[in-house]
Formats: sequence, structure tokens, C-alpha cells
Amino acid sequence: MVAEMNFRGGLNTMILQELRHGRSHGYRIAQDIKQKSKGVLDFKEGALYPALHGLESKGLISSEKCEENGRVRCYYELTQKGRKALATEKQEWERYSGAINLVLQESP
Amino acid sequence: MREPILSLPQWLNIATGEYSSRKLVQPAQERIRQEIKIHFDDAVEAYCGRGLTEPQAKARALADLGDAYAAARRFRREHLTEHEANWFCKEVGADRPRKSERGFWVTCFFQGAACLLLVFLALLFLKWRHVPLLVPGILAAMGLANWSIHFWIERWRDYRFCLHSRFTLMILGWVNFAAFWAVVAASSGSGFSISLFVMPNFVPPVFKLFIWLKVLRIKDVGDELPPPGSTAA
Repeated sequence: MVAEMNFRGGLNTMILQELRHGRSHGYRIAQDIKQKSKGVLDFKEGALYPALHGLESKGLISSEKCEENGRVRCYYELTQKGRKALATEKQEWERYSGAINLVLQESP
Repeated sequence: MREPILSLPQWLNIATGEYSSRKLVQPAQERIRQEIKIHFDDAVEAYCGRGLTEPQAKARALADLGDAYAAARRFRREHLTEHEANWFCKEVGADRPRKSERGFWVTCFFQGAACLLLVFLALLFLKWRHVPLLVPGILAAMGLANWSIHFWIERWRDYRFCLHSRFTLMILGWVNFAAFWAVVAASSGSGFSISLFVMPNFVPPVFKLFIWLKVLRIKDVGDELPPPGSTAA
């Protein structure tokens, strides 16, 4: 429950992180996030596409349609602006999680 | 009471607002339907590969998509609804046919004349109210600003890539026009005339402010708008 609550705001960052090595499509992004987090970051896949469209509107990712096995797939790719945003988000997250760790380690 | 979602078409109809008053614009609907359909097919294929029967796989894939109503709310934040797109189209004139160069200059001439008349009438009103002409320079500048704003709105009418700029200019135009009357009303010193002149000019843009903010957020808003001439009905 806690993971789900905290994850909502972090979905955009996870998407940017998944796209840092190259282009990918929605289903693969969703599966990669779930696999890499060993199922802890479980989210409803219907939420993924509004997030992708929102990131595209902000210019953080770009999309391209490609035909694959007779089906038109939409591939997403990180833009330069997206790379910068990801670096900032990562720094912010490290600062935030570090602060929480400090507080949790102090309590008995 | 919300109906249970039993199939992908039903999920998509809810997520795109197909049968609601907040139906998404056609290009956004098509994109969402295409992407989710492929996502769903991939998921069914993967579940079948893990030994599930097709009906079981479809049920699991549908459950993975989650709440269609929540998805619809999220999609509405990222895409225009038909109502918003039609309003925006009419507002910026994107639904009107292209103007000739002569038509453009004739429009600009009449708009300039209207702005001059506006300044003249405002000054006349202040004189009639026996108010010293404290701010004729400000009013003239505002009139000129209003004309130049409308000049660029007209200049960019034919270019869909200028929609954001044009819309921002229109908001500026509204604000400038309302501020113009505010100056007139404030100079005449009457609370009644302030409300009379300012309210009708400020209220409509404020009501439409949420659509404006959403439009500014959408990067390629031109792609979401219906083609010129299709919003006349």
C-alpha cells in the first residue's frame, strides 16, 4: 500500500529511467518496471499511457509509430530535455530518500 | 453504481469517454485505442505463454489495465475533449477558412478603426462625467496595444503551429480590454460603472481559464483539433 501510494508520483521518473537506454513501447516499459522492482512497484497499466502522453506534452519524451508484425506500435524515446529532467529527479530522490533513511535509522 | 467492465471495447469506451459528455477528441481517441489494444494483445499473449487459457488471459490482462474511470480522468488531463476542442477552435478562429491577403489588411484596418473609436468614446465618456482627463496617454496606449494584439491574432490565423501564441494573445487582449475599462471606470470614480464595465470583460476569460491552461499544456494542440469547417454545426 505504501509502495503504491508513493509510486504514483514516481511513475514519470520510472518511465524516464526505463527509456534512458533507448526507445521502448508501453507494454515493455510496464513489464520492465514491474520486473526490476520485483513486483513491489505494482501499478495499474491503464495509468501508464496518460503518463506517457503527459511526458510527451512536456517534451520529455518523443513518440514514433512503427509497424511491427503487421501492427502499428508507438515507440517512445527520451529527449535531451527528458535526460536533464531525469538527472534532476534522481538527485532529488536521492536527497529525499537519504533524509528519510536518516530519520528512520535514528528511531529505536 | 458503475457497471462492471467485462471486455476491452467497454474499457476503451469508458476511458475515452465515448458515451459521456466529456468525450475525447477523435485523434486522441484513436491513439489511445490503438495503443491500449496492442498493449492488451501483448499481455494476453504473455499470459497464454504462461499456460493460461485465452478467456483467463483476457480477464487478467483487463484486470491489469485497472480502473477505466480513473484512466478516463487521467486522459482528460492530457487531451482535449470534443467540447473543449470545439470551443478552442471557434475562439481562435481555427475553424474558419483561410483569409486572402487583402481580406487580412481590410480586417486590420477595421480593427484599428474600432480601437480608435473605443479610445475616443472612452475619453468622451470621461469628459461627459466631468472627470479631468488624467489618463489619456494610458488609454491611447491600451487602445494601440489592443490593435497590435489583434493584428497578430489575425496574422497567425492560418497557421496551426501558432495556436498557443494566438491564444495567449487573445487572453492578453481580454485582459487589456478589461483593464482599459477598469481605467475608464476608476477615473470616473463610480463603483457602479466599475462593476458595469469590468465584470462582463473579466468573467468570460476567468470561466474559460481552465481550458486555456490545459491547451497551453498540450504540446501539439493543432493535432487534436477538428479540421477547418467541421465545427460549424
